[in-house]
Amino acid sequence: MNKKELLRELQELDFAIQEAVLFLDTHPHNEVALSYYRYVTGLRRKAADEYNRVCGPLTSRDSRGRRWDWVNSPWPWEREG
Amino acid sequence: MGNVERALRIPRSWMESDADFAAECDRPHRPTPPCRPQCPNGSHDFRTRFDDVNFLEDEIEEAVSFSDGCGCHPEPPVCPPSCGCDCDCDEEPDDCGCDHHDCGCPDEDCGCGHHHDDDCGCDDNNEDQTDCGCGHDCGCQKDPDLDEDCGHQNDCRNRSLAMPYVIRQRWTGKREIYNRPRALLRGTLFVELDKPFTGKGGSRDE
Repeated sequence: MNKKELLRELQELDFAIQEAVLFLDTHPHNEVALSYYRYVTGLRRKAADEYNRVCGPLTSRDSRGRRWDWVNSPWPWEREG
Repeated sequence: MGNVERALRIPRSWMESDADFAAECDRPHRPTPPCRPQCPNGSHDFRTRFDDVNFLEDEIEEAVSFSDGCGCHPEPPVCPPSCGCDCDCDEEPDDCGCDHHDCGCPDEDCGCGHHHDDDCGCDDNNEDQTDCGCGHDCGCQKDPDLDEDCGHQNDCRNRSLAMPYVIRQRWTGKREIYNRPRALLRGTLFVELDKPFTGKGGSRDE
């Protein structure tokens, strides 16, 4: 997947996670919600790793390597020309 | 009982037995707890809401149900007109012949031997469904957080007036959520919460 597709997937996963979190705040023992939350957080972790591998760091805390490659443009929110 | 003229009120003493009640009310007697212990003085006769002809709103007593906000407690006891039982709160428990087991009595058994968990107002047949999903125990055994309720949380029949309620959302794994792309587009993960603003509907349909 390209950068745009990876970002879209991350956006969808983050939204689903937040929805599950809000539900669990009022239903902390709901097993279905809990298993869905674990599922989507696992997917989100994999999607973030994929983005970091393909497109560079997703956040400043994802910088790896000897250089501080976070300063390398484009940043995730920047659109390429 | 013979050919008794049907009045709105029949003396309690006439109904000596379940058979009397059944004969008078055309249905089986259902034991119920008594009326609220704090009945206003002189408040004995509950009109029925089933008989529109005899239903006189301005004569209805302030039969406010003892709901603690969760909606579990059913509406106040109302008796069929043919019974018009004497719900005298000063005397020993009366059954009123009403359909609901909990007349709002704060005590567990209202002193009559009947327990709250007979009916939390969820359904008349409440053997396995002891929690109307309102989150309140009502003497129930089931945990609403586990979505163990009678499934009647959307049932407004037994809700008290002038009390706001929030229906408890459920997630049981039965197609309640959108896939992720659609969820993001619709602005919610939950199908039930997908309520786009259309500018019409509700209580002001035009």
